[in-house]
Amino acid sequence: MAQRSIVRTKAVVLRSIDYGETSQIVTLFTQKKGKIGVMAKGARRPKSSFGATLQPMAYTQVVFYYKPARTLQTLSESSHVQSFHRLRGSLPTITVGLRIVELVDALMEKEDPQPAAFGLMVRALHRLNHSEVRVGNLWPFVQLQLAQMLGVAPAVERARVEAVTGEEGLLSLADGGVYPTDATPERPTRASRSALRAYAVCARADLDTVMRLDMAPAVRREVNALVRDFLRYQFDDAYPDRSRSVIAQIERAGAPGSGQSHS
Amino acid sequence: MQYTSESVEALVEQFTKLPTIGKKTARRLANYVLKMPQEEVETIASALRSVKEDVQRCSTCYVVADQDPCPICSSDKRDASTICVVEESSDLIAIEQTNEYRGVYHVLGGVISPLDGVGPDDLRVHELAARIDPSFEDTAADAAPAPETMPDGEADDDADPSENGQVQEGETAAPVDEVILAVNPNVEGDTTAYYITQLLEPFDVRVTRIARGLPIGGDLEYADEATLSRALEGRGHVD
Repeated sequence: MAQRSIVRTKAVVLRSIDYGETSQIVTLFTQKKGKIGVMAKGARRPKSSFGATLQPMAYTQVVFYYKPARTLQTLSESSHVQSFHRLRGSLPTITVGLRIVELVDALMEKEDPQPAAFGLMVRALHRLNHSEVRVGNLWPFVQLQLAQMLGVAPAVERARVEAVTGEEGLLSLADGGVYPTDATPERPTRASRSALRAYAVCARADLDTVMRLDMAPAVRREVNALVRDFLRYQFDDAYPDRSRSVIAQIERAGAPGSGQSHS
Repeated sequence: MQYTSESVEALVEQFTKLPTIGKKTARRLANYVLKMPQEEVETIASALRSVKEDVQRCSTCYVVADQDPCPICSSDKRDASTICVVEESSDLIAIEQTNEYRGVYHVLGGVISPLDGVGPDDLRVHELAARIDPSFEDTAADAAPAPETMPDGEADDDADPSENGQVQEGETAAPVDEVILAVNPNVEGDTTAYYITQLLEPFDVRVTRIARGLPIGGDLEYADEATLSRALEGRGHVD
């Protein structure tokens, strides 16, 4: 017989969809249960105690009644662990944050706890909440770290990165490694040496180091494209693409803060 | 095996196309319609038909109306120098019911929602800019960087620049002093508000956003930190 239990856990909100007149269906990435869907009854009422805690990217402590047979659990309580409200204070931080939640939502299996991925997401959102410069560095970093946690760590070796001495080198989409142009890795793609070095830093260094990395806009574009190609090769259709064109529209419209803060 | 008439089943099928209506509710509604007097059913049918045939959108503010321009845009009692930007026509009704606002409106037709794939090009954002400065279309074309210069380097192949807003020929745009963003206080509303603010930055117009914080009758003790922070940020003088 299915075991009912009350679960209290930390969670990051991935998505909220309105349901009925006043309720919401919320996708949470929880520390204890992994990705889970909950019904938040009355969440849209003006005086709802859920307040702003069910907005995407919110870091909350939730309580829900868990029943294994259910596809949607019933949310009982939700309160901020940290409100991260500054994260919602500019377009660059919002767009990077939304891409992170979209990625986690797409790549995580339901009810598969991934404490390391949860920790990565909280660290990334925390950094977004406090950073004003180079917030765009978080995006390739989070993608490569998440890939590593899901078993497709980029095989970046320092010696091979340093062997790239010319203008260009290669990235293997099969193993995520960086190679000189005379190597013959599986599924190679060409890139500039600067982009490959920045890619290697994002793959191997810690978050503080990555956030200190200055990338020229052209290099950043190249790094983002390399990481995208690698993850798309590894995760195929599971790699999310929906927000990409919207964010491109936002950035194309000459959103000045967007460009400055990302670079 | 057929338990009921084909007409009833067809009606149930049509009702299930409405939002939040499932099969059971649709069946209940169909049974109710069966019991209704003939003239009431005809009134409903006629209302459904006329909502599609007679209703149009105001070509200035894009609200749903029976005439173009809508009564608000054509009224000389409204202050055309203030535009209140709302997501949908239903939001306009909510603001009108306050009897506090005398300006005009602009209905976006949604909000920017990256997670749902809804971007500025899907909304009437450029039409708003064109209301403020009819030369916006040219400005936008000159200012917009080529896709390859985007910070993220991810070109949007689907974007159609021809969908930008246009001011109708012969129309004289009234000078706009203030744009009030009355979008919902959520992530999508924030994204839309920041986007519009940046889009309108080159124009000589004040962009404001309606206050966010505690609801009247609410309780501080039960308010979450984000809402309280906003309420503190937006605090005002006691009148």
